[in-house]
Amino acid sequence: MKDIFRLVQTGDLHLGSPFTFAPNQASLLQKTQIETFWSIIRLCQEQQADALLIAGDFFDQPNPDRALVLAVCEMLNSLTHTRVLIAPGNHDPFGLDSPYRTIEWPESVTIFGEQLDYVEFADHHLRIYGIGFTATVSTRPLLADQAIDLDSDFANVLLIHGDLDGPSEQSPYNALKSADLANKGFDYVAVGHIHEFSGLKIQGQTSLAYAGCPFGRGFDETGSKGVIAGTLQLVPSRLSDLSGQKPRPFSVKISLEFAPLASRQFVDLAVDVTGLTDQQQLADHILAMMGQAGGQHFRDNLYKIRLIGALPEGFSPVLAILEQRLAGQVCYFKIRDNTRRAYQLDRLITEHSLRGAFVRQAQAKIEEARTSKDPNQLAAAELALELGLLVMQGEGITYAAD
Amino acid sequence: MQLIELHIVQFGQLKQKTFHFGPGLSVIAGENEQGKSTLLNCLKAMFFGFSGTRRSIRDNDRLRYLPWDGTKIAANLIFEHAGIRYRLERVFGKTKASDQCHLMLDTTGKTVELPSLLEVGQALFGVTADEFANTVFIGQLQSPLDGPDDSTLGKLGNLSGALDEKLSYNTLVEKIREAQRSLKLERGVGGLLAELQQKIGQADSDREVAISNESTQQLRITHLNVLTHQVDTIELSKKSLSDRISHLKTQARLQQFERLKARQSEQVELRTKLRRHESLLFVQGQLIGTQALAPIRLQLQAAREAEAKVLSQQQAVEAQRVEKGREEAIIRNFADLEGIDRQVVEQQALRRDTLLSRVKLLKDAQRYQALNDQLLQAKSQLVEREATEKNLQIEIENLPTRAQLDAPFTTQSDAPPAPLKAHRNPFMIVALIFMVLGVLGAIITLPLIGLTLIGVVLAIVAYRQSARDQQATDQVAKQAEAAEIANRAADQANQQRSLLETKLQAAQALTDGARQNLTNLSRQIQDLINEIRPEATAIIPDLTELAEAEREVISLQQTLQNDLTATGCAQLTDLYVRFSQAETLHLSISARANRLAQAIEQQQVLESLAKKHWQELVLSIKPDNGSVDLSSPIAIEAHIDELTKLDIQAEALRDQIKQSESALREATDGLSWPEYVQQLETVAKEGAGLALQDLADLTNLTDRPGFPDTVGTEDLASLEQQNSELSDQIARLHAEISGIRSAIQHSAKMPKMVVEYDTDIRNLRHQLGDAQAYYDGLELARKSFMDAYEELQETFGPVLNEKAAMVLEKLTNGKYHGLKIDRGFNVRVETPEDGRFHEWDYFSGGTVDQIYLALRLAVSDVITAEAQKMPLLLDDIFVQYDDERTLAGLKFLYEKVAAEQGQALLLTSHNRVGEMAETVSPAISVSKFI
Repeated sequence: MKDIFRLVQTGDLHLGSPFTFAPNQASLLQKTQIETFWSIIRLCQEQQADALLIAGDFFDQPNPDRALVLAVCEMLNSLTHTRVLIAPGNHDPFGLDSPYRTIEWPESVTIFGEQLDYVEFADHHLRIYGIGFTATVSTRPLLADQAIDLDSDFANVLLIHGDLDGPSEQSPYNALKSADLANKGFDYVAVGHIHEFSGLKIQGQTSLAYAGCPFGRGFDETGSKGVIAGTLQLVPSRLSDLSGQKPRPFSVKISLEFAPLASRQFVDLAVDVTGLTDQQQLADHILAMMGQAGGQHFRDNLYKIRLIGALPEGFSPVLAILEQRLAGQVCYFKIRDNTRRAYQLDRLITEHSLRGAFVRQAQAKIEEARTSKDPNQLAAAELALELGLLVMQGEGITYAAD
Repeated sequence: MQLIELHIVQFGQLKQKTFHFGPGLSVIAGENEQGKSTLLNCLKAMFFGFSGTRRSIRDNDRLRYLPWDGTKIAANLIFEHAGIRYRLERVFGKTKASDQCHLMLDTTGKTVELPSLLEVGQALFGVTADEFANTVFIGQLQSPLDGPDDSTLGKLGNLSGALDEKLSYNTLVEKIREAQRSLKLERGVGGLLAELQQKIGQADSDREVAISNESTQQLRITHLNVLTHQVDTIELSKKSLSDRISHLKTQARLQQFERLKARQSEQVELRTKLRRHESLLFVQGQLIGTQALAPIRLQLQAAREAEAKVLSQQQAVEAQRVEKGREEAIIRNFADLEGIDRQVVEQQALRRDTLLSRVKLLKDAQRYQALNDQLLQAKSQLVEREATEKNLQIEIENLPTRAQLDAPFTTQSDAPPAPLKAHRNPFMIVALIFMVLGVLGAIITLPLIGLTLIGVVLAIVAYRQSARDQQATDQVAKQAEAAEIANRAADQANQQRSLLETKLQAAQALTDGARQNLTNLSRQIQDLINEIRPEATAIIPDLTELAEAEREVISLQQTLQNDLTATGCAQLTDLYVRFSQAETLHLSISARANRLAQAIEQQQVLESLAKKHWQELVLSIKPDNGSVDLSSPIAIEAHIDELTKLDIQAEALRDQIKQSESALREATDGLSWPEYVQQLETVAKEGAGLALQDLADLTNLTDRPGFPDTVGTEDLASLEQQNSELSDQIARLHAEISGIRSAIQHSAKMPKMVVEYDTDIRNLRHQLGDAQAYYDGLELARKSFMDAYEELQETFGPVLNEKAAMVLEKLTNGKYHGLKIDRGFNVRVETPEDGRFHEWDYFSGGTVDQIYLALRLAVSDVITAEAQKMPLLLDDIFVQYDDERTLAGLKFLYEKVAAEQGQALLLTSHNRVGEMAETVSPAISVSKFI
């Protein structure tokens, strides 16, 4: 019996995403998605992983481009040691015309369908269960109608896509509860759906984790992205099962870690430009901040730049100029001007005028909001001060959507 | 604070202008457009810089006063504040970043550091630019360019409401309301917020529909899977049932099969045997029969004959080979001749012989030449001796006569010629000795003939010497004789005669000897001529040629000797004989090789012919399966014999098979055995689910597990009925599955996936949140303005009321002493006529200006009460005043400034103002704007 089982967990790759927010870069980003997946394949090869778990949303659409699916199959075919298990998610459900059904996948690939099933790794005394979405929603939890009778002689892993411990039990995306899964006796639950690495959650004897997406799809998916990699080890144990069921002669030692992968990142960067006085300074500072945030390969990243801070009267960022000066420096960027005027509030507040009185009143409201610790109220109070000063300067204050 | 001096380097239209300012009220009068307002604005800029960022020159002082020639705005100001005299130097560029500001102590030049970002006015006087503009800096009124808020009434309203003539509370609030209305209408439904909420509602609704659709799809797929599973289960049962039925059918057939199997096996065996036989009888796709074997045997006969010819020819070739070998063995004995060319040897021998002949010829010529020379000498000697003899005879004969005739000469000489005689004798003696020895030698042995020749030569030489001596002697003797004769004359005549006679005798002897010698030589020459070739006498021998010929002869002789030594021959003739023998053998071998080649060629032709015969024979009998050994004539002959036997046996087998087939067909109801087996296979497959490959060996069919051993008693009809029912169930399920599939494929689909609606809703809510927050910010700003307004009302309202009323009373010389500013900052003035308060728009322009000035000065007082008083900067504020109002105004200002010990600059374009000022007080400084 082999006691160490090596696995790599991923999911939410969303291959074939259209990246509509950046049409000029869409092709490059789709290519990056494929490259990221290829790096997962390489990782499996390097680590001689016993299994690659793909926890749903492998593809972005239920019917992705056939050429893309075939390319993925070709990549999977290069695995020499690793079995691949896929639990379809809400983006790529196991529908009737799904490529999971219509295309011949490599022998090493198992795609879980509407029925809970498992793949047994007899040498490791380990079974990996899985079930997939059959439609783009699953208002009823996928496991609700499944008979689950786990064999405690095996380490039992569940691969599933769903909304784990979400805010609403009415989630249309297979609402899952950690406690329920723990009660069913799974040792480890590999979950997909949330695009952020969740860390290893412990619920009773069960560990659960979202790997997150290995490559972000927008500025709401920022930061380092990757996969979960590590081992499951059956360690001999004399402890009896507290539930009164048959005691297991072993315990499962789970050693899983987050492994960063993506070569490009989406970076939401707030750049404080306080004190800068011309466009070139702004451009240089933005570039420097991008370099600081993105490290050595910062030019490969995609940036959402929010200019913040106070600028002196008479100077404001001209986005067209900044975009022209930063063009070609990084893979993609967009800039939002959230700067404000550098008001001398301590002076204005003493002014004997409507302006002074307004500042005093607005500051009082800000203090009041601070006291209340209501962030929305504080934001509104600060915005009110800004808007009041702007309108007194004759600036337009009509709302413009971001 | 007090202004002292302003030097304008460049500010708008003003260049290099210096202004000095005294304390108290100063009136500076000048024409319009001279730059009075520019001067005041320069003072404002010195303390507060430029703040506007508008692009319009009207709203942007920096642009307005920036020289067009590209130079910068620059000015220096000296002022006093809190007892300290300062010097302020400023330069203004196109942007605030390029401005320069240097404040220093005027007395020491020491720089005064200012807090960052604070303007000089703020830092020193605690007054912001706006406060400055709203208090001590009072500009012109009623400019035609002014907008509503900039009109006097507007400013008055702003001033009363906001203490800032440029800020209109109502306008500000209205702007905020306007921004709010774009987000949310005050009445009814509208605005961005409602729009977003509506979109969210729609997206929520669409999402619910999408969820419903997708959930239905999910249920359909689940149901489909259940049905598919049912079909699978029923098909499994049906298959089991069909297998059972099939087994039963198969069993019945197998029983018959078992019976026929033995016969079929036998038939198969016969066929196999026949196929084996026929496999040898099939040649080139044709079955060889009895008829085909006769010509094959004829072919065999021809092949055999050809083979015999080949054998015969092989023997002949072998005989030739043996003989050729023998000759080649012999020729190897002549291997020593290799490297020796017969022609060369012969040429060398010929050359040697030619040279030997030439040598001999030359030597003979040499001998002949020598003898001939001797003969000529001998002849000459003989002639000389005969002459001497004759002379002596004549002398003797003439001796008496001569004695007489020669008497006069007898005393000429005393010495006799004796020595001459003594000299002549030894040569002759030696010559004679040699000649004698030579003759003796020639007789004894030919080689000593040389001695004879030497003797002859010496004799000739001696003779010639003797002759010459004789002549000399003779002459001397004659002379002596003559002398003797002369001297002795007659007495010695006898003695002389006897002497001459003695001489004559000697001469005769010599002559005889010479004659004999000549004779001998002539004989020798004749002998030599007889001995040698005639041509030897005709050539002159060349000694050099002779020597070279002799050397070549020796060389050739050596070469030939070497060849002889190499070949073991004693003589050249032997060598020539060996050469001839070898040549003969070579010729024989060559001829034999030709004959052998011809024989081999003939043999090959015969072999080819024989081979062709055999090949044709092999082609005629080689089985198509190629399994027979036909590599030798013996094997071929054996196979032909075998074919004959096989043909007979195959014929017999065919008869047997025919009989067996006939019997089996009869037993299988007219089906052929394969058809029968095929039928059985079909039944077996239906009954037992056997794989096709398993059916290949039907003989083992009954050994398969699960195959019925015997036909059971089950009711086959009942089983088939059950089977039919199961088929119906499957069909119904398939129909249902098909319907569900169709429903799945044709179900209504929303344009987006649920997750996309989720994203849309999230984004919309985010937008809504942003917009709502903005709205809340606006609302809070509006409230803040309202609260600020309230604050102003409460803080400044009453004070402003009081001060403004007081100023107005003074400005109007007591005419208007009642002024009220209500909570709405509406200014109302009491009219003396009716004692009622009226809104400002009730009054004339001049009165409104007075009210404005009163309010402005009141505001100034209120705002700057706590701070250091700053100079009042008044820009033509009396422009619409009549003289009375102007005078009152000037008087008020003078008194106010004097009372406060402050400073005021009144710039005016009306000279009358200056003139009137002088009437108010001589302390008022009145000057012209230059």
